[in-house]
Amino acid sequence: MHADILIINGSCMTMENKEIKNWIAISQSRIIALGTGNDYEDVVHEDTIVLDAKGCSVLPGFIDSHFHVVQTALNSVSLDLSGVKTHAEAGEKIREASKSFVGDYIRGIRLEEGQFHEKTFPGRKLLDQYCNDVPVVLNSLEYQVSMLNTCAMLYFKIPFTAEGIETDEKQMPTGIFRKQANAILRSNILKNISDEVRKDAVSGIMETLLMNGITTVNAMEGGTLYSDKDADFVFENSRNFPIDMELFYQTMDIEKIKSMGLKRLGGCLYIDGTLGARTAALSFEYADRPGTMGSLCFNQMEINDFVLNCYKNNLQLALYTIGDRAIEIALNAHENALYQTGITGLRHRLEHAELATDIQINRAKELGIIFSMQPTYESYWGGRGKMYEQRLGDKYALSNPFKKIIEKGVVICGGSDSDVTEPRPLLGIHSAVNHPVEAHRVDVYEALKMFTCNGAYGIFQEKEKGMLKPGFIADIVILDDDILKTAEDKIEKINVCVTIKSGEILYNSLV
Amino acid sequence: MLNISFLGKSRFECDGKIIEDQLGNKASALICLLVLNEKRYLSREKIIGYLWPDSSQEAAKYNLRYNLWLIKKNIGEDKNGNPFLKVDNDCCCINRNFEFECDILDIMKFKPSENDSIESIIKLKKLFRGDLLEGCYFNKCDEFNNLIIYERINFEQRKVKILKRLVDLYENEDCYEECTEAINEILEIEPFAEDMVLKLLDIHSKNGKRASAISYFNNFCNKLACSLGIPPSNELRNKYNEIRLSLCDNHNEQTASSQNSTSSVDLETSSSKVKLTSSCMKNIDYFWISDVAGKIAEIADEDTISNLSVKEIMDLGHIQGSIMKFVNISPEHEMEHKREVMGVCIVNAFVKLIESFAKGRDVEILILNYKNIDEISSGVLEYLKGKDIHGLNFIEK
Repeated sequence: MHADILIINGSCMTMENKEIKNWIAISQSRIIALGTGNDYEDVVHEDTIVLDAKGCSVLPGFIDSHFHVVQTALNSVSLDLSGVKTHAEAGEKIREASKSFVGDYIRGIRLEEGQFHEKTFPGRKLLDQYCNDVPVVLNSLEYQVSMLNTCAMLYFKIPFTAEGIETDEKQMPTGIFRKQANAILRSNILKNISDEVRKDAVSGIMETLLMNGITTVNAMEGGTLYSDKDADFVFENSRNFPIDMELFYQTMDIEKIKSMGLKRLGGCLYIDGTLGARTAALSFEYADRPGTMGSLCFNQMEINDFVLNCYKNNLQLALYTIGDRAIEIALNAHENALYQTGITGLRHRLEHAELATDIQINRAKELGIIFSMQPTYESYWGGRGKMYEQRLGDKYALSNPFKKIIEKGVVICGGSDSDVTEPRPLLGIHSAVNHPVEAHRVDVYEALKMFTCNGAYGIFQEKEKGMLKPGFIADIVILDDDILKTAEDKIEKINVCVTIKSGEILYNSLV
Repeated sequence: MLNISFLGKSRFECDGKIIEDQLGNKASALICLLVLNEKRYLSREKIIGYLWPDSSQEAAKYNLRYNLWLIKKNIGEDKNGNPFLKVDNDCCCINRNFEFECDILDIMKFKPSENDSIESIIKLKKLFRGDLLEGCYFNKCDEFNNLIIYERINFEQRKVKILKRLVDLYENEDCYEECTEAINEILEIEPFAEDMVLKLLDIHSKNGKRASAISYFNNFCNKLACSLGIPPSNELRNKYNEIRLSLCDNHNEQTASSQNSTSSVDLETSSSKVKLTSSCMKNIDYFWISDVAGKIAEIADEDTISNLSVKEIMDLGHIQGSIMKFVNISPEHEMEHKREVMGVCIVNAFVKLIESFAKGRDVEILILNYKNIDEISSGVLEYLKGKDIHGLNFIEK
């Protein structure tokens, strides 16, 4: 058979038994042959496109196992305010954006109270000073707080009687919404976003994803801080985009999942909260807030019932667990469900699992549970002086113990949690290899597995994705260096120069 | 006859003719302002401050004059020859003699009373087509925009109040389906209002729809968890458990009898599931702890108790003698037993007993007369709940 595409002179990491080949032949959407040396003459045809990898790494297309597609897309067309230091600076950016904005309203994102010199979020009166003729909606980094200008307060349906509306001394709303009010408001705003807007925004991020070598994402969509319409959109439209999207519907409505014919559910199905907000459930007190240990969203009986129901319906379940206390009740629930049903092989997952203990890792191994983890968290928050240490004190050294997890036999699939961290698998790989705690570092090959074959295993696609093998889907990336020969601390500098998805060259910086 | 609606998109109907397009936004806003202040004169200066704050004095005065003329032209007089507005050189107001209907006036007059009828409340409810002056925003009119926000809050609160009144009326009439519908309307406005969810469970229960109650509770918990990352309140959880238990009662006579009979321990067929019924007594220290320890002692095996040291069993023995059957007391222990024991030792021993007993089992402890629980037991109960012991569940009645 003749190849449509032939990649030569590569360090082609098959991700099977650490085998490395030199060339790969692709016909239509599949890999048809691999080989060493120059024995590819048989597959070359006059129309064959030949890509010279020049000794660089050739890998299976990256699989990002935890990715909020619609939220990332909408945020990509939003105003990033993470860098501003004062209310006035934020206001000026909004004023500037209002001059060229397209759509119904200006959406600002990634705000944190601590970033402002004022140490508070900006309220509507402040926002009005900079923009009073267009609705402005700002979101905090983790979407727990929304801020609206007056125009937006009158434009959107506001849950005026809900708990969490901040008021001034005259009992008038300041435009800052938290708790229930924020959840309802976000739902009101997000449900009015049209699918057309979603489509444009998602199309807009495809280039970035391909540029970073991502050919498959696990799309974690739905849930109220997000919107069920996001999940419905991905369900209806995923085939219209160049990369594969495996939907994880973030709902507990098993009947709905069944009626949609989906085989899995979950993602950010919260068993606990976040370390940033000190709501992740720990078995010890937060170092920077003694007396606080985070909280669980369910008691054991409730989570037992839900997990059991997933087993009975043969659904793969991905539960959001960060703290060890959350991981504990999730594992308890899985043990209970396994004991009661005897059903195995569903490859249930714990998302994040940042603080799993040794015993919990052993239990997860016994249960066949996969950890879906985000190594880039360690680059952002790990190590001395960063957020993990602030929250956990010396116990920061317990976070994301990749090496131990792998040694104990638990499969880790890697993701970015985009857009909490950048959708760059090579940064994730770098972060796993360069974990701030030396004992938790993994070698490059193990880190690559997280974003290739393990990612495929996490969605039951290991027989056609995640490896370079004849018959597999031709999802392939070519890097601009040999990753095995690159200094470990320089991995993040490596770029993807070609991305092939199902046999189509969709990104190519070689030309 | 003039009919005005300000809730939802403003609507003006004068003798069957729609006139809002002729009036425009500012004239509609002016009428709304005067209706909201129906009992007083508003000075022209005040009105200008609301609606044309950024115009020059001359322009603002002209704008007001023009809009008053526009209103007069389009609304004119009622059948008795009364003009709609009373206008003089200084002030303006709605003419109280003018015959007209206005949604917000009807709603502002509402005060819950015994004379309310279902029909009258439904009529009020139907007036809520949307937010006050929906779709309107008046650039640079800060004071007026604030007024709209302030009044939207008021009307939202009134809507909830009206719906709650309707819920009461339906409930009094045993109209459970309609009552459920009204509660759901409140929950659309306040989706996390646990008092309403509690009411809904109650109504479902009264209506014989216990399965619906259970399903609603589960969905609500999911929503709380997914949206707010919090569990339901204890009160709601207890209500749910009460309904769930009453469901079991219908199917399981054994369970029902166990709650009323002298035997307070109910062992289900599966040895991994245990239900205990415990009682409380006000102001008697350790009463509930003692009761639970006694009931565990009735059914626990040696293995369960062997996790406790002799000293711990003896500590517990100070408040529950039956536990002492598990120890052979040596003279040395006898002396120990006679010493005064610290409360913390009793509590620690009890917690260990509970942990040991719940290991490998689903233990459900029904607490009767919970409101009379003594202070020490109450603290211990909270502590146990906080520990989230696998398989251990408390139901407070």
